[in-house]
Amino acid sequence: MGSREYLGEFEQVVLLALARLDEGGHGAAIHAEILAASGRDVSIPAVYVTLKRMEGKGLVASRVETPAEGGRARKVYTLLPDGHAALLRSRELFDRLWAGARIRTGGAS
Amino acid sequence: MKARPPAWSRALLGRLSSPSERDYVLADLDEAFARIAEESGVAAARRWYRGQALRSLPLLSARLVDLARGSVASDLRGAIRVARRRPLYAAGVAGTLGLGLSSAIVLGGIAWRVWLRPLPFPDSEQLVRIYELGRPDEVGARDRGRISPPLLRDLRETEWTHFTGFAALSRSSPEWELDGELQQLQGLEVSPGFFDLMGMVPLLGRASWDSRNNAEVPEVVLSEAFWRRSFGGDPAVIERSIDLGGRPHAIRGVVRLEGGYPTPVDLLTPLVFEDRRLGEGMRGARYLEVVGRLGPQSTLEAASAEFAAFIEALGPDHPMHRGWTGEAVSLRDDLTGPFRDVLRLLLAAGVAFLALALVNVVGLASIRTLERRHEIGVRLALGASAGRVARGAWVEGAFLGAVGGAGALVVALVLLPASIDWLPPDLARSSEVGLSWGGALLWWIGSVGIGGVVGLLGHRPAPAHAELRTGMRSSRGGARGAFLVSGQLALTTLLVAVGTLVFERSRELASHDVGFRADHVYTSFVSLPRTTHDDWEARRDGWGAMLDHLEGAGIVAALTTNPPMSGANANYGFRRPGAESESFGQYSIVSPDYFRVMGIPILHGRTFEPGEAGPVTLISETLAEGHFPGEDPVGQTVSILQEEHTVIGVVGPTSHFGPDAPPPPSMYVSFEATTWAFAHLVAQGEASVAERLVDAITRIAPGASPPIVNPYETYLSDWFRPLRIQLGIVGVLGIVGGVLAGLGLYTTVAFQVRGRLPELGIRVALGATRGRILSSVVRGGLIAAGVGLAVGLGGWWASRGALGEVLGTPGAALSPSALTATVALILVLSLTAVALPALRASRADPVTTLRSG
Repeated sequence: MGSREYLGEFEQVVLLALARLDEGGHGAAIHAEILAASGRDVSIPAVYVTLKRMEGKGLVASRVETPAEGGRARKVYTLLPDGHAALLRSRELFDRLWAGARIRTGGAS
Repeated sequence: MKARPPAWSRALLGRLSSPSERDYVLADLDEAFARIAEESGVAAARRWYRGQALRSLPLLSARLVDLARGSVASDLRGAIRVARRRPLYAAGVAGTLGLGLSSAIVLGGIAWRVWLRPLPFPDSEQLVRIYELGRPDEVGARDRGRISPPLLRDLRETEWTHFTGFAALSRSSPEWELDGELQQLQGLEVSPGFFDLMGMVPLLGRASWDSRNNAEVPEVVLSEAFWRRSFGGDPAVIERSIDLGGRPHAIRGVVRLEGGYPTPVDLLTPLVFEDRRLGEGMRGARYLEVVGRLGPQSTLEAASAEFAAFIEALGPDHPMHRGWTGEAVSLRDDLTGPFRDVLRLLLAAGVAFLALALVNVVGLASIRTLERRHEIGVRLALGASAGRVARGAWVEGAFLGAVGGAGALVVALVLLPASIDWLPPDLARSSEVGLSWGGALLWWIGSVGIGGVVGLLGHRPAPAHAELRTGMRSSRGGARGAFLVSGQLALTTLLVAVGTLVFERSRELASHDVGFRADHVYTSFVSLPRTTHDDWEARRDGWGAMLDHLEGAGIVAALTTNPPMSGANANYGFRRPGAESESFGQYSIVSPDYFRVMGIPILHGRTFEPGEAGPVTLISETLAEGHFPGEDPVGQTVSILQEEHTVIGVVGPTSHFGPDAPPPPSMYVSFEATTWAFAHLVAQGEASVAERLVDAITRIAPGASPPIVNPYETYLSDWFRPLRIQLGIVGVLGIVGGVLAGLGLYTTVAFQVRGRLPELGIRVALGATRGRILSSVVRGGLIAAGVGLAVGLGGWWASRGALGEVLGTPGAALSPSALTATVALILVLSLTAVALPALRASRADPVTTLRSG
């Protein structure tokens, strides 16, 4: 990802949820994290599509894990350094924009 | 029992996920579903699951893009590979599709733009033209007449059930004086209510006449083209005045004239009638073009019947309408004039050729499927799904359809604009023929889809295998192919038969004696400026000076108001004293040398003397034979327009309406007796005469519209144009039909040969000679050709009546030579198409065919 490129809103949501999971996480865990932190019920297939795109850009990495207790294999994603950098860049952009913005909080007068 | 997520939602979610992620996504969804079911109950979990499916729907477009990038792209690469490896097959499919599509786009496009496309007026399908229909002739045909001023008044004063109104139009040539220069303009006089009836909205000002001020302040509405050309599109032009014919006219508005009706003119003025034009004697002056609007619930048939009944009811009180009836025709249809049958033929041919091309492409694709049967079998055995193989066929067809469609569009984009020159200029809307970029894009997308569907239809692995096993001779596919080929050959036979009919008819008409000479005769329509020639004497002197000027230059020239085959038609009443009823014939005002210039023989008596202004007339031989049988008409009298005229001579008959119509009775009166403001100047001589005519016209009548001189033969060639177009169309259709039928025959026989190769191999192994095999295949092809020929000739026989009516050849009889030519052409075509597969069959190698079969 070039230094001038920024993350989209849904990309930020997914990567931030992944950043909150210490050991990385699979789709259901990311979905649950987003739901718990924001109350937003996102589409699990959309989470996977986003992660696949981020993986193509080198922001996340994936590995397949089979649970020791058995059951289906899971695809577990972890955030890479470039992913962290992309999140920080996006945050800085918003911080700079927020700093100069005069937002009325009391409604229109 | 373990709760399960909703099956449809699960299937959808699976489809929406990419194959590499699908298992993980479904596993995660199941995990979340189980957790929610445990926490909030199964119903909540199922609701959540359905919500996931709905929320994931936007991924559909991403999946489609993936698909296009992946497997469809690989299919496309496969299709391109096929085109490279089998260029003949690919060119055959793309070329045939292109031929069918270009036929449909060009032929259908012309018919759409010129005929079927709605006119640019609100509820335009409710607009009609009305005509009076004359007394039936001996075969029951009636001449179409326009509407006279008194009849228009009657129409407007009547309460109608099926019409909401009528409006009349009449051509005019107003003179515009600008800075001392006189210009003759193209004008149209339109009756009050015309703009409302048509639903025309002005670009500027208003489009209506102020009836209260009509007499005091003449009004004019400008056409947009004239407004832009002469006033630079200045909006301040409204209520300014323009000097027309020496009188200032108030400019009321500007209208856009488009869509072929009315014919574009410079300006429109009110159509008003002096009382003398509304008298009983003017009921025969049928010169007004009248449009009507049907009521919202009324049908054309009901309105036409109401109008016909109205005219028929006038008969008892008004002799000029006795025996007449009337009809209303759709304005859109009417604008196509005599070319409607040609347009219908074009449209039908466009559709038929597209259908034939598609059938043939299915045939070609079927042969290809047969040839690929081993490869397809291997792919199926290796696990490819039937759907995957079918998709390959679809993509291959769509690719060739895209190529064929692009070729067809190139042909259409060249041919459609070129056809404007080729279409008759008097066909309204012919200048609008063309193809928009949007239309081209739609056609191209359509051709991709059509190619794909045809590719799928040709891809029938199972039947193909079955046909291989059972042999082709008795298979349903073979029978169907032979049936289609016979149908195509029948159509081609019919087209060839029609082509020879039209050709023979053109030759016959071209050699017909029309009763006058057109070679070395030049003509120009002249309208004397009213400003300088406003009374009878001025006009007579003007015409006289013009003829004298030409005579001084050594040119024999004459004047006529009604030249034959020019499209002019002055059908006036005449009556022999004592005759029970009035008869009708062509009325011409001519100068003494008219008959000499036109080579019309004076059979008896004499022509007019110079300056002869008395009530005398020359009549045609047709009139003499019909009304003075066995008598000498010279010296007798005939009443023309209620005035007694003495017959001073009899002239030869002329084919006034063309060589296909019998010469009408004609009467000629002297220019010295009744001089009109316009006439056709005719002169004999070589090409240099044209310049002399222009010189004489501009010298004697400065300000007359710029003189245009044409060889008189132009009238004849204009008359023959529809016939030539018909011949051209039938010729092109015959060629396209022949190519398609030949291709169809080739594919069917090639398909059958391919299927019969094992059998042919065995026959060769058992001692059958190559010649026998060759003749058996040729025989099979020729049987289909024979059936097609018989059906085509049967079709011609059955439709002789209708064909004769359309082509103007009663009975549509084929001469022996035309019949022989038709049969020979179809047989040669069939033999050519069968030759290649027959040769291939005769070379069947028993070892190879048995091993691979």
